[in-house]
Amino acid sequence: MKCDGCQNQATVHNLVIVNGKPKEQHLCESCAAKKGLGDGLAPVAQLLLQGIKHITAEAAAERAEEIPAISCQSCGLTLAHFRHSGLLGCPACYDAFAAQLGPLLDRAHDGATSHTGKIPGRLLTARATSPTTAALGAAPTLTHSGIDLAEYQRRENALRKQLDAAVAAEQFERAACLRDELLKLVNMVASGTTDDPASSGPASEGNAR
Amino acid sequence: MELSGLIPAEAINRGPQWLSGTGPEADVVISSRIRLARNLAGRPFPARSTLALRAATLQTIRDQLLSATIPLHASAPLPPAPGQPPGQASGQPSGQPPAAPPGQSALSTPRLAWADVHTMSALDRSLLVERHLMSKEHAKGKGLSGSTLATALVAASAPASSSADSNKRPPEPQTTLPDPRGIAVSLPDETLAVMVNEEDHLRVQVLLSGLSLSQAWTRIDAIDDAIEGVTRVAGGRSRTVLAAGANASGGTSTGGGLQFAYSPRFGYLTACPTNVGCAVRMSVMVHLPALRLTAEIDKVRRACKDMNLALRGFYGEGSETSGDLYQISNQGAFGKPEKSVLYEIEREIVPAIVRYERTARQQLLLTRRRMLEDQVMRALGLLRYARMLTPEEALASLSLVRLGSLLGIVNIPEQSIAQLIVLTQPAHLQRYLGKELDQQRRREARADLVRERMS
Repeated sequence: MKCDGCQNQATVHNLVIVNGKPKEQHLCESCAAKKGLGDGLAPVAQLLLQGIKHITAEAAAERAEEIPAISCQSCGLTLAHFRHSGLLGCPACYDAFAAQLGPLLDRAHDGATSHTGKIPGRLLTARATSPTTAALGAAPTLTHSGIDLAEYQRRENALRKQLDAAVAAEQFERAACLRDELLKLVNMVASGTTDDPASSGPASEGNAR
Repeated sequence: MELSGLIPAEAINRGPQWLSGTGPEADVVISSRIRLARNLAGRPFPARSTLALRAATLQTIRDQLLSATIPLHASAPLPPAPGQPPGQASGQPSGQPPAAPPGQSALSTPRLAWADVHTMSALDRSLLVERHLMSKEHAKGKGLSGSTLATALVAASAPASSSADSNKRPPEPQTTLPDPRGIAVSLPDETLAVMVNEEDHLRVQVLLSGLSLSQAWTRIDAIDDAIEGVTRVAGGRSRTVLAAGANASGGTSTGGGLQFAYSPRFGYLTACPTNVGCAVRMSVMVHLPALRLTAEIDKVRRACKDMNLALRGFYGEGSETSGDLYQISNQGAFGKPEKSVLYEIEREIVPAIVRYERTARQQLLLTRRRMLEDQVMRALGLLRYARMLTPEEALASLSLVRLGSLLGIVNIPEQSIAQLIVLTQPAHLQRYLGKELDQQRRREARADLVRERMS
């Protein structure tokens, strides 16, 4: 079919109401564009092409972020399963999927990166305070199975900072080491083992820079 | 004896305490609720636990709930038992006696009642959902696989739940897999409810009348500690913590409370990562008929959205708004302490909404009184003369009559409206009448009950 405005092939077909009567319009792409019809009424071929582009782009994106084959050592939940159900399997999943959960939590809770609020009472047993500190009215040091929690927090924060710096500097090997250190520290407190944190925490602090 | 219903007949008749209209700002704020999610350390969350493990979890938590000294309140004001108010229960129509047995004095001692949800009848489960003591999900139970495990469980759990429950109906292993779930409710006030083996091992809720989030927090905080098996004592300037009767490495078993799953980074660990952190949901139920009539309800919607709060219907997540009742609640509390969540809802957004609603009510009275009266009277007419009523119709009309009552347009005690809001729900209606009815019969019975109470 020829274009109403010129001799080109008509690719844009439109129905307009003129004086209450329907009127067909057949235009080529350039004439349609001149009448302002081009954008809204892309030729079928173009639509199809767009669709294909879209699909392939999606597939490519999907392939690019193929779900890593991570699973929880404790309960066996895979990352794919978690993505599907939205539910984690056990407390240890939080460590196993920490890297994946980080950004998710950032989105969900206004960019917060760690918990503030209530702490289980059982995690906070007051270490027998010396008479001096008691007399001074200072709050007793909070410990968990002999681990000084304030000290632990300090170590964890330090490790975290180093880890962020290492990632920013693309020192991934170092970052992996720091991550392992951090996990060790977290696990230690979570499981209540009585290893001395001093042996693990600051070791990496020495060669931080 | 309580398992056949958990909730005593007299209480069914009276309606739950949170609907009593006795709390602060009760003209707009119906109730305040705080719910905590807690999981036991070192074991999979319910959905990933085997049935046997779920049964064990249930047992552990049940033992702790029933042996710990959980602070229950005797002083909570209860609405008057119906039956008694003049001109209400006296004119019972033929063959529909109220189910309230006389002399329930033993019920006034506060106690924590336990029931195995998987052996409850569907009607009793729905009743708890209608009273907002249990979630719909908990009432339904999760789909489970592995029927052999299920059969094994029936055998395993039978002796455990036998003692006081001999007169309950036996579980039906063929039709319903006994997914081990439990619920504990404080009686007689029903302000505390604990769901066991829902999405998380424990879901603890405190539900109070009116705008009472601070009060609810104080209570649930103490209850949470009691369940964990610790006492917190004030020391120095700050509030410090001492574990009592519990050794910190004691695992999750008996002999001194429960060890909750917690990480210093993530906080209280929950099955759904959107709850992680404080694992707290605070919600306030508000009644906003005037804002709907003045088409200003979007104001509330926008305000909630701006503050990242959820606005939901009468029955929470996924439910439609009905009867102009809305629930405003936080969505997650990670990196934000409980007190901040509480402050935002109780001090910031809800007072603003209360002001909007009150202004809208006064505006209607001043400028559109005829329309307002028309709406209220039509609703009253429906309640007084209809011969069949759906729960939605009843709730929508009761909502308008409540507004009319608050504004002095009709002289109907608010208490009887509140009672009807619950009594017209399907399970309540059937429990009240003492028989199971199909949908058609329920509509008829509902209309009869409402007509009799509203005349």
